[in-house]
Amino acid sequence: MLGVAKRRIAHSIQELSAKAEFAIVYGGFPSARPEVPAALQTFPDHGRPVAALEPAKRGAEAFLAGAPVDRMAVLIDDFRAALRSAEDLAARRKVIVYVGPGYVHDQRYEEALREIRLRNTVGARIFPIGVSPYPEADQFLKALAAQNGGTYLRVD
Amino acid sequence: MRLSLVVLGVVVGAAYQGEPRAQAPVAAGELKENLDLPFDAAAAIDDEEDAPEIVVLYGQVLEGDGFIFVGEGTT
Repeated sequence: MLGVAKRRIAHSIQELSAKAEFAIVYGGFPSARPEVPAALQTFPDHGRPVAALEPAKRGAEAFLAGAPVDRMAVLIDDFRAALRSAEDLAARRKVIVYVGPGYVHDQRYEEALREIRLRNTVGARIFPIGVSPYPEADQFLKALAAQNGGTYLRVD
Repeated sequence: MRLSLVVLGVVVGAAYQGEPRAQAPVAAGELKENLDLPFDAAAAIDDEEDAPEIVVLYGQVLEGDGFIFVGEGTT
């Protein structure tokens, strides 16, 4: 299912015009530190958004093709990185799209909601797409959208 | 007697201002005089927004100019 998600994200990026900016945060890469369950990587490496020009689109496609689909991710870390990237967007209408199961490490859903809301100082609209989420994650993603100006979609 | 009639005529004439005048429409020429601005006097409207990008992901329509995609490799 998440392999499909990767391809759909790649497809969406291909459709952006050169006026748009984008970046990718992807959680679930193997971590070099045993105490950390997963590492995230960003495209571009520096995490700052880039214009959706052809070289950037090709780079994004290659990045997503190499991203894992079988590892645990740490959602709050992914969102911290995404919100930092959003701060660097020159675009006025900022959108964060999350595609994943919505699982929060240690079930700290309320803390995660609070932290994301507080860190979202640029008013990015957050659109979570829950991929076969557990009930708690489903509720979390729904609240995440409601608190950050987006809408929630569940896919199974 | 003649003098009295003349005086009366003057007094009545002074008191009578005639029918109240309806508000006369402003002549087009006067208006034009006030509005006759240079053709380029209007401020340029340069705050028009560009149309946002539209991204469709899983049927979800997303509008914006800058997108951060967050994916997770969790099973």
